[in-house]
Formats: sequence, C-alpha cells, structure tokens
Amino acid sequence: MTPATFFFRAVGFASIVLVVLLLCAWFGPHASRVDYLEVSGAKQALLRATISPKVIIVGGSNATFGIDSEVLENALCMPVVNMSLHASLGFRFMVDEVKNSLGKGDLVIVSLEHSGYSTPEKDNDIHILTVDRVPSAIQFIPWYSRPRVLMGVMLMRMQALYKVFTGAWKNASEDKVYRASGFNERGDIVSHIGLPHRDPARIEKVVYATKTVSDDFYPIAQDLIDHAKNSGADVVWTWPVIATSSFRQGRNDTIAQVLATHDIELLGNSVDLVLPDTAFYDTHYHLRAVGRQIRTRQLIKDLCGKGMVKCCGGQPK
Amino acid sequence: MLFPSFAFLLFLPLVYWLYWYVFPSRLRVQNAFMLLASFVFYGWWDWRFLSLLIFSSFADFFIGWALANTTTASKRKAYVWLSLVINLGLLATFKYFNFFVDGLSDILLTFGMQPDFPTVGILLPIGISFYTFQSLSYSIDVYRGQIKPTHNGVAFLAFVSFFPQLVAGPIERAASLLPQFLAPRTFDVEQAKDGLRQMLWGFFKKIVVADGCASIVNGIFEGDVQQTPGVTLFFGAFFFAFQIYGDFSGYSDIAIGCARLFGFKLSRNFAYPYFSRNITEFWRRWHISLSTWFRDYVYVPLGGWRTKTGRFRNIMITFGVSGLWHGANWTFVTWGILHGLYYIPDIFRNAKASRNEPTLKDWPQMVTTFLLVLVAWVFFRSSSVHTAVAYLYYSVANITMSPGAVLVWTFRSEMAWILLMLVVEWFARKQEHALQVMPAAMALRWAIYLLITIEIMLHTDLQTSHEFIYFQF
Repeated sequence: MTPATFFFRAVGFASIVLVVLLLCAWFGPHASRVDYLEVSGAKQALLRATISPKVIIVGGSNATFGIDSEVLENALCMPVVNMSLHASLGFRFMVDEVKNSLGKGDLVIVSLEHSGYSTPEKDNDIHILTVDRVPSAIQFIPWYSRPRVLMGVMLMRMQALYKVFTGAWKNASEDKVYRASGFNERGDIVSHIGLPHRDPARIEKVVYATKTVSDDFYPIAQDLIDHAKNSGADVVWTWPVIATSSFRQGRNDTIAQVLATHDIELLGNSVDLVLPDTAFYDTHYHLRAVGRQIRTRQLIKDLCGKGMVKCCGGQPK
Repeated sequence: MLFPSFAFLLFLPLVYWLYWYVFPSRLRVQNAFMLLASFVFYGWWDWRFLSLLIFSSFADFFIGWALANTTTASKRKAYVWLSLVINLGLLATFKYFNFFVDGLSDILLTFGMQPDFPTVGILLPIGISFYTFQSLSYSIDVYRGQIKPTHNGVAFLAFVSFFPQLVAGPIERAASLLPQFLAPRTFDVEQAKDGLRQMLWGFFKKIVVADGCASIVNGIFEGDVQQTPGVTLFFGAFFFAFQIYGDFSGYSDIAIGCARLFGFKLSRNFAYPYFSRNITEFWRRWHISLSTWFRDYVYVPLGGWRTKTGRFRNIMITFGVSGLWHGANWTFVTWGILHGLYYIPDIFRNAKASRNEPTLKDWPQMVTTFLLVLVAWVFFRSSSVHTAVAYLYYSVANITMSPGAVLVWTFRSEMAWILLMLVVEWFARKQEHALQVMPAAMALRWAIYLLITIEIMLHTDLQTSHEFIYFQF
C-alpha cells in the first residue's frame, strides 16, 4: 500500500465520521437548551428594519442588562436598536454585525466590557452556540474560524443528541433569565427585572486579563469608525457600569489613554458608572432594575452634555 | 498547537501529504520541511518561544562540532560544561529563577535578615524541560564518545524540534532519533496503520479518561479538605492518578503514533505502570524516557549502585532532582523524595523489576504499589507541601464522614471509563499499546475505531482547552 492509498483510506474513515456528525447535526436538537443567543437573529432583523437616523448600541451583556432603550429613545427622539448580547462574541464580531447596516445620522454607542479591550477577537464556544441558533451569524466570524465553528456546531449537536438519549437533556433546566423571550422589542433583556436579590457570594466578579488593551483593538475600532464615516454616522465610546469591588481605576485610565491617543470619542467619567455591588444581578456588569435606570440617565446626560445628538426629551437631572 | 484541536486536525493531513508527496525524494528537503512543520506547530502557541528553541539547538550543534575537532581533554570538558551551563541556565532562568530567589529569601529571613530580591514575571516556554534535556544529552553523548557529532544542521534542528515529541516527550536520545533524520525514510503501511491506532488510543485516554477525571479532581483538591469526607479525598487522589496517567501516557501515545506516520520510531514512554508489582518496576514503566535519562546522566555519574549506602544517596539525589525537573515547587521535590524513600526497601531486598508480565495472582503487590504511588500523587497535585500533608491527614481523620457509595454512584461514568481502559490495557499488556492487536475482520475493526472516535467526540469539551498537564514542565 502506498502512502496515498493509506491516506485515502484514512480520509474514507474520516468521511464516515463526518457523515455520522452531519446526521446528528441534522436530526439532533440545538447544542444547548439555553436559547439566549437566538435573539441575535432578531436583533439583526431589527437593525436592518430600522430606518436611519437611529441609535445602535454595540457591546457585551453590560449594555444588554444595563440600558433602558425606551427611555433612551424618548430622550433622543431616535429609534434605538440594542445590538449588545455577549462579551464573549468579541469586539470583532460586534463590529462586523453592524458596520454594513449604518446609515446617515446614525449614532453608534460602544459599551465594551474590559475583555473587549484586552481580547477583542474571541475564539470560543459562544460563536458555536450563536451559529447553532442563528446560522446566518457565520458571516460575522472570520473566514479562518468558520470551519472550526461549523465543526463545533455538529459536535455539540451530537453531544446534545446523546444527552437526549440518556435523559440528561430533559434534566437540564431552561434558564429563567437567559432566554430569547426575555428581551424587549428594542433588544434589552428584561427577564431579570424584579427578580429577588442574589447572595453576593454568587455574583461573579470581573476577571481582568494581564494586558489591558490588546494591539488588535485599535484596527477593529478604526474599521468601525471608517464604516461610520463613509455612511455619515457617528461613533462614541462609553464606559460599562461596574460594581465597586471589581472597579480598577488604573485599568480605565489605560483604556482612556489608548482611546485618546487614537482620537476616539469617549463619553463621561468611569467613576460615575461605579455602583454598589448590590445593584448587580449575577455578575459585576449585569445591572438590576434600579441600576439600569441610573446608568441610562447617566448615558443620556453624557450624550446631551456633549451635544452629540438632539436631546428632545431634555437633559435628565 | 494542541493535539486535540481543530488546527491539528487540519495540520496533520496537510503535513503528511506534503511530506510523502511533495518532498519525498530528497532527504535534505524532507528534513527541512519537517523542521518548518515543527516550527509552525511550536510557534502556534507563541512564535517568540521559537528563539529559545533555536538558540538551545544551535548551541549544542556547535558544541558537538567543537567537541569533534578537539582532542585536548580540558577543552572537551570545557565544551561540555558550556552546554550544561547554556541548557541548565535556560531552565534556571525561565523555570526556576523565582523559586530559587524565594528559597534564598526564606533562608535569609530565618537568619534575621531582610532580603529584597527582585522576582521576574517571565512566561514559561512550553516544553522547555523536554527539549533542553534532549539537546543537552546530545552534547554529553558526543563528549563521552557514544555518538559521532553530525555536521548536518538541518537534521539536528529537526531532531531537537521534531513536533510530535517536542513539547512533552518522549525525550529522545540523539543515538536513537538523530540517525533516523540522516537516513532516507520509507513508508511502511503497517507502521502507519499502527501509528493511527496508537493515536486513537492516546486521544481516548486523554479526552475520555483524563479530561473526564479533571473536573472531579479540581473540585476535590480545591475544596476545604477539613470538611471533606475521607473517602472523597481518597477518590480525589484516585482520580488524579488516572487523570495524570491518561493525560501523559495519552500524549505519549499520540506522539509516538504520529511519528510513525512519518516513518520515525520513538521510544516507548509508558508500559502500563499501574500494573507494577513494586516501585522499581513502576519506574521501569512510568515516563521511561525521563527515568532512563536521569539514570544515565545523573544516577550513574554520581556513582550508581556500587555500594548500598552510595546507592541510597544517589537514588535520593536522582529522585529529588527528578522531582524538581517537574516544576519549581517543593511539592514536586517531596514527590520525588517520597519515591526515593519507597525505593529503599527494594534496595535492601535487592528487588528487581520482573521482566515477566504481571498476572492476576500478583494483585496484592499491584494494589500496594498503586496505593504508595497514590500517596505520592497527592504531593504532586497539591499547591503546597502543607496542603498535601493536610489532605493526607484528613483522608484518614475524616474516614467516618464518608459517603463512599454515593460518591461511586455519582462518578460511575468516569469509573466505568477507567475500568474499561484498565481492562483493555490488561489484556494488551504484552503489546506496545492497547490497540496493537485488532480483530482480523475489517468491518469489525472499523466499527471499533468508529465507536472509540464517537466516544472521544462525545467527551470533547469545546468550552475548555484540552491542554496537557506535562506542558507546564
């Protein structure tokens, strides 16, 4: 047998494995019972359907949990589309998701978690889970990661199918907060509002990376700024709200310095967005109802103070 | 690049195809290609690590050359010392600097001094302990006249950085692997088939057994041992024993199998160590390439086995250094010393590792040896010697708190995989690896391969990295 015959036999075996995977992906359930990421499709549809000028919120779940888009919409007299969903999607994904849907007069508000600056390009299972729920999201993933993501979808569906057979699937509880039906029509999550306080020990603290701002951050930011400029839109950065015990002034100073170096517009002062740990739901970025109102008011104040938009609702106190 | 990764899934067939089909005719080009592939594999983690690898390889290549051109004994000695200083210096800087500085500070503190030594925040290059030892052994063997130095720089670099075994061994001797880079390789289909089977078994041990045990082990070792039932603590150590075995022997199987696809034969690194009947035998079966390295370059030069007292001292030093090789922590040194102490009765009994394979009648010796190894693993896994001692203490003190049956039921799936692995390896204990002998019928063979592959896929956790424990060494 030559190396080629052996190679093709091995490829033959791999093809059988691939067929098994494809069958599982086709007939199997979704990779996870949690359908939170399915809302990505609805958000993309909302973005395409909303006419300009509009406000687009880009970021991780700090903005999903922490902004009341209806209040913002009333204050700015512009429709608001909250595209934020999950920090682990990465800044690259977030930018690719919105950059081709910008129109004249649009305002993009970027509210990244600290990981958005330290690791703006992500390579994790959140991409797989998003594509599993919304296959069209594959277009926002770099071409070189797509085969891995598709393979991941098949593998996770196979694992889910196995769980169905063993009964583990039925036992996995559906999340009360992290679900696609937990969002309002503007893209904010509202399913956590009104839920009782959690034990502070169960609230996740912010884990910081070694490097505060990655070298990959600026090219992605510039890509967004260039697309906005070409479409007649504006881009502005804002701080995420953070719990007191996770706040690190030095980190924010570094971020502010990098943004200033590249002439990136940054709203407000990070200290204004530090709230007590009790204002948060399950992580030190996820605000509960009261904190959400405080943060939204602060955002409106900062935007109107800068004169970036017409504040038809007047400046909040 | 990790073996269990999507990148490697694409890398391996591509390299295989280019190696056998694009560059098969000229050995020099084939070696250069293998070198490039190895650099891509290693640089995938961090390309900056490559500089150290190249530096260490070139240093020993030129030292080997210099040794060949020198007959003066003092000069030859100076060259081999230079190799030792370079390789051990790299290790000391990148792996042990902070450990030694902290140790020195502690000593000075006990004398009432207030030292203020700087520590450094350097990233530990993956596999540095493996490739420096491989490169160093070349210079020593040339110095000893055991091998002739090569003048082929590409072949030498390809030998040190050969990607299947670069980051976690087996640690190959130049006498065994370097000639394989200097002679044309021919494709042997039986070797290649068996190589793939060995890789499959390696992936099974790593992903199904080792990674399955990892979360249990982490939960138990990182919990409050004082409040943990004794049987739970016992199972923590038990699962760690199989986690580290599955992880490391799994890596070795993948490495050896992968090398066979390219026509290379690597040394055997594991020979079913948990079937050992005494500690001497355990060390003939566990991490064989490292134990023989320490035997030839540390134990024998120290004087070896000439007298009983000398042998005792040399064994303790060798095991202590071997422990330190694993990491800059006293836990590893204690682990090594404990194994050295286990050896003492064997010295006085003049016990030898039996050349015959164990039988079921040997179970009392096998269980005793396994339990001794288990105690030592507690030190290996713990974050400090203090926590390891507490772990062992509460394993006994909390024995009455034990919900043992519940625990066995909770971890029944992991137990079943461990049992399956042990049964398969028991029946294959006369073979080099567990899947060496397979049924003759192709359909049955392929069905077995498919079942194992599906099981591996079902256990692949895409949320966590499948890094190997031994990478940190």
